[in-house]
Parts: sequence; C-alpha cells; structure tokens
Amino acid sequence: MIHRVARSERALLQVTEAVVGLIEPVQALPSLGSKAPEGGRKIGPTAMALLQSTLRRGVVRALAHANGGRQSRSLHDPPAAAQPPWQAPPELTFTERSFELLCWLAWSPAASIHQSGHPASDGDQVLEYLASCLLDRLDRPLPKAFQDNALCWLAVPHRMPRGAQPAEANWTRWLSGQGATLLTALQPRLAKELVRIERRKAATKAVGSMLLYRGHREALDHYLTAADASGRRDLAQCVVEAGAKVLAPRPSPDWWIGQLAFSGTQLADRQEAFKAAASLLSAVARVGGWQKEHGLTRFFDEQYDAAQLLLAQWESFGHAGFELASERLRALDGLHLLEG
Amino acid sequence: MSQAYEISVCESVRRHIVVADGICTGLELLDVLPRDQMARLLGAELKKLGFESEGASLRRISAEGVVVEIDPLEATVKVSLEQETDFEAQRDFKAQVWEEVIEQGRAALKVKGRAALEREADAAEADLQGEVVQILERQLLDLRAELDRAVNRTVGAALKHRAAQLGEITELTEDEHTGDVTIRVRL
Repeated sequence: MIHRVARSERALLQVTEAVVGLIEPVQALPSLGSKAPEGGRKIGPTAMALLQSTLRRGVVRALAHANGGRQSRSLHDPPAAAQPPWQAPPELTFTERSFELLCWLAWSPAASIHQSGHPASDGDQVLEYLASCLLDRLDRPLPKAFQDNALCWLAVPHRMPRGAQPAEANWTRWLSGQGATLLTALQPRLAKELVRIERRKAATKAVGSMLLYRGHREALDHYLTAADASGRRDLAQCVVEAGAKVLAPRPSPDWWIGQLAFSGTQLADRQEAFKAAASLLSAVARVGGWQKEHGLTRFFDEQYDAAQLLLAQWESFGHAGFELASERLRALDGLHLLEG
Repeated sequence: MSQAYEISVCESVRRHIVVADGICTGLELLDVLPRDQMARLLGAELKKLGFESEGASLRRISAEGVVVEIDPLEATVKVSLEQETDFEAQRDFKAQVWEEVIEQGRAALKVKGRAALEREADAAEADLQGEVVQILERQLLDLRAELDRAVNRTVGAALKHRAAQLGEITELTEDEHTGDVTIRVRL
C-alpha cells in the first residue's frame, strides 16, 4: 500500500526510522534540517499514523536487537526467566515530547529544541536514548534536556553539556515496573556502548576531551547504587560484560591514558582525566565487591538465591577479572602516574 | 593632499598572577585494627616525617612551598602548591596613519598594544603554571615513596598489635628492605 505524505513529513518519518534503527543513520542525513511545514509543527493524519506505527515497531525492534536474542535469568520480580521483548512487547507510550524531539531533528536541528515540559514517559526516554546514540554517530550535539535522561549518561556521557551532572534520582523510573523490563532488555546494548566508550577514551589525545567523560564515573556509580537499592544487582550485567571485553587482553593503565598529551596541563586536570579514564574500572571494581559478598552469603540468608544466580552469571569473568579491574583502578587513581 | 603621520601610544599592563595546582588521592591503608587505631598509628609515623597536627589532619610544607595534608582517618592525601608573582610591562607602540584618521588610528593602536601586553601577561602566567607543575611532579615522586614506607610501617605496627591481642608473640622478624614482617604467635 502506498501512502502519500508531504516532503517535510517524509523527512520526519525518515529521521524517525533512523532513530529507531530501521535505516542506517547516514541514510537520514539528507533529512536532517529539512524545510519545516508551513503553519508550524503539524502533520497530516496519514503521516501521524505512519509515525506512530514506526515508533511502535521500531522501538520494539530496537529493544529486541539490543537484547541480542538472549533469554537470561534476572532478579526481576517475579523471579522468572525474563521474557525477550518480541515475546511480550512492552506497552510503550509516546507523548508530545517525542513528537517535539523528532520534529526538531527533522526540521530544526541547528536551533535549540523547544519542549513543552510534558513529563517524559518511558517511551519518550527510550526514544531520547536512541536519538542520543544517533546524534553521537552523526557527531551532532545533544539537546540540553537529554541531561535528565539517565540512559544517555551511560551511553554518550561525552556529549553532555559542559558542567552538567548526572542525577541519581533519574534512575528511579528504570528500576521498577516497565522501566526495569526495558533496562533488562537493554543490557547487551549498554554493554556494547560501554566498550565503545572505553575504546574512544583509549584513543583520546587531548586532556580536555578526556575530561568530557568525568560525569560517566558518577553516572555509573549512581546506576549501581540505584540497582543495589532496588534489589537488582543483576542490572550490573552490562558493566561486567563490558569489563570482561575490555580487560580480556589485560591492558596496562597506559591503554587508557597513553595517548594523552600532558604538556602544559595542570596536575589537577591530569588527575581528573585519569579518574575519568577509569570510569568503567571503578564500576567493575564495585561489582567485584558485591561478588565477594555473594560468595559469603549463607544458604539460609534471604538473598541466597539471588547471590547464587549472580555468582553463576559472572563466574566466567571471575575473581581474577574483578581483581584486575581493581588493580588497574588503583593505578589510575593513584599518585605514581602523576609523577614527573 | 593627505599626509601620513607617525603616532605613538604608551600602554602598560599590571597583573598580580596567582597560580595553584594540586591533587587529592587515597592511601591504601589496610584496616588490620579499627580505623581510629590505624589513624593513630599512621599519625605517629607521619609525625616522624615532619608532619604537624592541624585539627584532624596532619600537614607539612616543603622548602618549595608544597603543602601536603593527610587525613589519617579518611586515609586521604592532598598535595598542593600556590605561587604568585607580579607582572608589569610598559611599552611604546608606534604606527603610521593618515591625517584624516589620526584619532581612530590612535584608538586602534591602544587596543592592539594593550592586547599584545595582555598576551605577554598570559604567557607569564602559563610559564608560572608550568613551573608549579614541574615542582609538584618532582615532589610527588619522593612523596609517594615516603608515604608508601609510612603506610607499610603503620600496617606492620598494627599487625604486631593484632598479634599481641591474639596470643603470645614468640618470634618477630622484619625485613627493612622489603618491609616484610613475620610474626609467630602462640595461641
């Protein structure tokens, strides 16, 4: 069936397809910054129906793709095998906020995004997260509003506005109900993004560029604190998976900071840069502390089943992996790298 | 017919430059005994190295003005250095301008001259910053070794305490070079 839409509406639909991963980002490039429709941000009923269908299909597809076809145990309540998204698609709603975001991307990405102030739904937040990944791949800045999106802080911390800080409260929505289901499904994708961030850091030459990852350490810390407080330590899976990939070749501390040019840099900035470089290591080391606790959990303790699940899940990374992360963290956080 | 004139302006810049740098990190202090007891033992070791008490922390200032502050309870160390200098420069700037635009030329030359002197002041600040970094880097090298030894001695002392709590110490050997401590205890 062929649907007729205006050129501006086609641009909007194409940008939406790129955000949810139905087409490659580069295919949407010509649509970014297209001419907006006369009469403001309005689209016809055909385009709206197509937009809604694209969002529904696309986001579920993106979640299924993110999940990688896995069916793994989680500490989700009830404690059953987590159902993959394509078997039980989440009922996601998208508010005006999502529409404003997509219009901005399609028609005025050079301007500041105007958002009506609607509270974001889970669907809106997932869309923002997917959009942030797209903008990162296209080397475009993020709207300021994205700094309230906890997922964006994990995936694209270097794109956050200067001086922005991640807030622990932003994780509340992801640790229960539908948010927890979505976050569980996103674990493999988040792991890949964390590995990508580490590889970018390893190639970073300017201390100023490394400092862009400052907020990442805090964001991961908030994430783990929130997961722990909600009884969902299994949500550290993305951290352990990323740590396993990055630490498999046993890189030295130089892997993270060897490319940095320090000439003329204050020691304070250098230290901040090393701390930023060690963001994932800090998170992995913290999870290592949890794993030690899991090993000491007695069979009559309430958390015994959860502890056993996680011990088994992270066994392949093991004590050696967690120790290596702690060792590299101590090196990057310590004094000796700062010496002349 | 218009004539060209040579104009001259005198510009000066005075700046009080203050540069500071520093880092803060943790000490790897094992909790062999409760933290407050470990802090007391560490404090005693640091006093031998010339640190003086200042509230809950211990402080030492080197000959080059590097301030080392250690909180034995939190096991954190702060190293900082601040230096200041006065920058003063005055210079005449000359240019040739057409008669009709003498005043604009003078104004532009003042701006250009001032900018040149500000750049020199910035360069002086950057140089001082570089010196501060070099001093800190040098001192960190010695400081790390010093603190490592102090922490090792603290842990050694704590182990002896702990061993004495467990039973009767029958043998105690210490290797000064490696810092290894061997304690035999009769329970």
